[in-house]
Amino acid sequence: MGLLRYGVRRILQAVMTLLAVMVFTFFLGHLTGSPAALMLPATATPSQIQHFQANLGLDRPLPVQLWRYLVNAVHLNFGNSTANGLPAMDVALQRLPATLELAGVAFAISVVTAVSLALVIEITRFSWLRSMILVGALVREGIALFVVGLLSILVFGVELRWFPVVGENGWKSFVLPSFTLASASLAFYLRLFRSSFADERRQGYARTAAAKGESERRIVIREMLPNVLLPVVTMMAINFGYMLVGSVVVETVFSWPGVAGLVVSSVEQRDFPVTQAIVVILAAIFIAVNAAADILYVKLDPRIRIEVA
Amino acid sequence: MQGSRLRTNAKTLVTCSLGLLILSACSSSNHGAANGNSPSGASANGSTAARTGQAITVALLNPIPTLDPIADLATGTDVEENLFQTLTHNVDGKQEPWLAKSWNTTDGKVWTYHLDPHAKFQNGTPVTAADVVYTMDLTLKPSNPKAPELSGVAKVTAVNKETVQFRLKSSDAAFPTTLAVVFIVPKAYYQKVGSHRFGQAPIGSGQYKFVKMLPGGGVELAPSSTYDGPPAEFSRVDFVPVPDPQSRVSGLQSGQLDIIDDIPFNDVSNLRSNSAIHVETMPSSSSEFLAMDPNSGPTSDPKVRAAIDMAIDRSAIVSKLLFGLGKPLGSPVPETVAGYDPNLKPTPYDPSKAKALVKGSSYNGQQIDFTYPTSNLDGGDDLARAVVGYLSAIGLNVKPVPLEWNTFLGDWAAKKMTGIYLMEYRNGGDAQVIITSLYSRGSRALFNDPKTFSLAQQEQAQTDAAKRQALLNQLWEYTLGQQHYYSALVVPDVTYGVSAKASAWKGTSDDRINLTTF
Repeated sequence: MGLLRYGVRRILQAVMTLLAVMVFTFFLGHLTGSPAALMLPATATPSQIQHFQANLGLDRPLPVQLWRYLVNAVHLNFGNSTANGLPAMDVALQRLPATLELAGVAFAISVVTAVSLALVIEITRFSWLRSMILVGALVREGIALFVVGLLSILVFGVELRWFPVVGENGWKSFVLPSFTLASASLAFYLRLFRSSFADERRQGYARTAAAKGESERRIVIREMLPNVLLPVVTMMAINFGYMLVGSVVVETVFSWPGVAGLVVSSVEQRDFPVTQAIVVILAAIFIAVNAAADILYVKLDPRIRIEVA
Repeated sequence: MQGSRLRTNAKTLVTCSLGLLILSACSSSNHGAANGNSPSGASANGSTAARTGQAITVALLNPIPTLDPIADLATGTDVEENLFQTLTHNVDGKQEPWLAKSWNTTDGKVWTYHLDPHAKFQNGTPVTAADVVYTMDLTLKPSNPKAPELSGVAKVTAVNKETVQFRLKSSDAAFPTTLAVVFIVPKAYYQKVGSHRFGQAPIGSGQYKFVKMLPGGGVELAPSSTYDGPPAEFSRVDFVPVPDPQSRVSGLQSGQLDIIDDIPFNDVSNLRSNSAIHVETMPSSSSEFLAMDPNSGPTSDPKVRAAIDMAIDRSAIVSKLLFGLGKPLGSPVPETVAGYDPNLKPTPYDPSKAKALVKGSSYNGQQIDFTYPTSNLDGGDDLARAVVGYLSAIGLNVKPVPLEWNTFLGDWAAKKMTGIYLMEYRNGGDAQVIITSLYSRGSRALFNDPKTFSLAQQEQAQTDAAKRQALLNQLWEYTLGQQHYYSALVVPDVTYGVSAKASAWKGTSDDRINLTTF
């Protein structure tokens, strides 16, 4: 019963969040001006511009436009793109798979790399190796994402010609953008692992296992890792959402055919229907991922369920 | 040579190794791999033999959501130029026959076009006057954002199968240039499938035909067997969107792209040092200029406007900010646009005289707004800052007002600008475009000058080329030389980067990628 109430509350929260995002996006978009001057040729007269605005429904009061937008959005109708007349949701959904693929691959790489390196840091007896990994991750974190992307293009694309640098064409085209995106959260994950492992090392079970003479590797992997993963998994799930939204830079640098490029071009062109459709999709994914992280946490940690009940 | 290359690679690798540690982990399995985008050969759908048989990849500035040229707002023009035909095609301000073999007018008000009887669409149906009328009717619908371009057209009729007549609301000598931007679509197919489906599977009459859409807004084309003209140069053309200019340069350097345009000016010399790449630059059809508000504030004094005109060192702007890729400009339109006056030289840089003019004017230190767009301006913010510097140096108190492009356009259209504004204007093939925008009655001109409006009206109606040019010269001399409503600054170059594989292709001053062999 407690879990059901929790679920209903989460769904209501999600709907409210989505509504707030839609209203916010609507007003932000419309504050930036009308697309008419951009769309019409430089020779258009003021009356032609006014007539065109009326055709797009942009001459009506903002609350009226907002109400129409929300009513249509309930039916998943975000209107047609003002730039090309195609249904806005179709335009946005066409570009979503490429973004999900890139974020998915980058997420997998970041998780595998972070877990592997975190284990190496905990288990290794060589302090220089530990320092090298941590310093390397920090240095990476200190370099802007687009600089890492451009450097990787110069080295592995232009100089060595190992990987394509533009667009999505087979698995090789995933290498540079996904590693660039994945490397962004490495230092964050390693810090999280370090503090979680430090907490766990102070727990009685870890000290008992060490007193029993269990090997360091066994203590770290078998005893401590499941507990360490608990907060890390939640953060990773949330981070997947950030990866989706934060891939704008990477998609731009690598000309990746995802939604990020579409967001930028639709904002530049004041294509409100497409901008709104993309923001709603990304917000929905972000909310869903957060909800999934909560549910995962409940599954992993029975204490959470008791608190909810 | 090989050793040098290896040393260069090693040096670069050492420099970047820390930040790219993770990236190198997967490098071993990719030795010698070709780029993933290189087509292996002619498309299975390609039908005719191409001249070189080369398959090439061309960078687009934006993804293409639709290839319906009637609904598309210029994002797909580079592809449409190769898929479709216009009645005439523009070569540096002159109209050459294309779908139309000839055209004529008696009074500039009624224009008659005679179509090529052998022209066919890619589905084998002939191009007829009915297709032209249908295309024009769709374009002229008030809901179509392109309609204002043809707002001078009163009626389009098919005289017979191969003759189309355009009746205009008033005489327009430059009408063929205006018409040269409209791609003709096949009426029967368009009616059958509608705009949406047409945009995803278009049929035109151009030298290349549509094969398929590529992921993320790209397009694959192949030579068309129905084109009434020389064979296509390339066996397959993939257009892929690469909006970021730096990525376009990297794509060309890495061998993944064969033709790119809009190269950042500071990258041109670097690309020129690469023997595998040919960089082509030529004067564009754009002009960068200042407009001054003669109605209010300090710029209402003609002496201040004249001082502003001579305070700017155009040669320095070209050499320092455009990296030598441009020319100082004295005429509102550059030499690639019909209506250019070669006798109008750029205003000489004379800060002393400008200072003296300011001193002798009514100016007493009031602030002058200087509005400029933060994008769509070759030279960018640096150009705006340079102009502010030049104007401050002659004693003017100039306040920079940077505006995002859409906001700038909105204010420009509503004539909200005061003081001075800086703009880069894309002229098209004929001076008529800028005259309609900035010199005619009801236009976006900040001045209200009956003499200017009268000259603009006279030149538009004048069908005799020499007489029209004389009127244009008068208009330029009066508005720039005498009244200083505008101050022409520079014409930036267009830039193209071409790989050895596509070296047969030549760029054009209109900044388009037209692969058609004429």
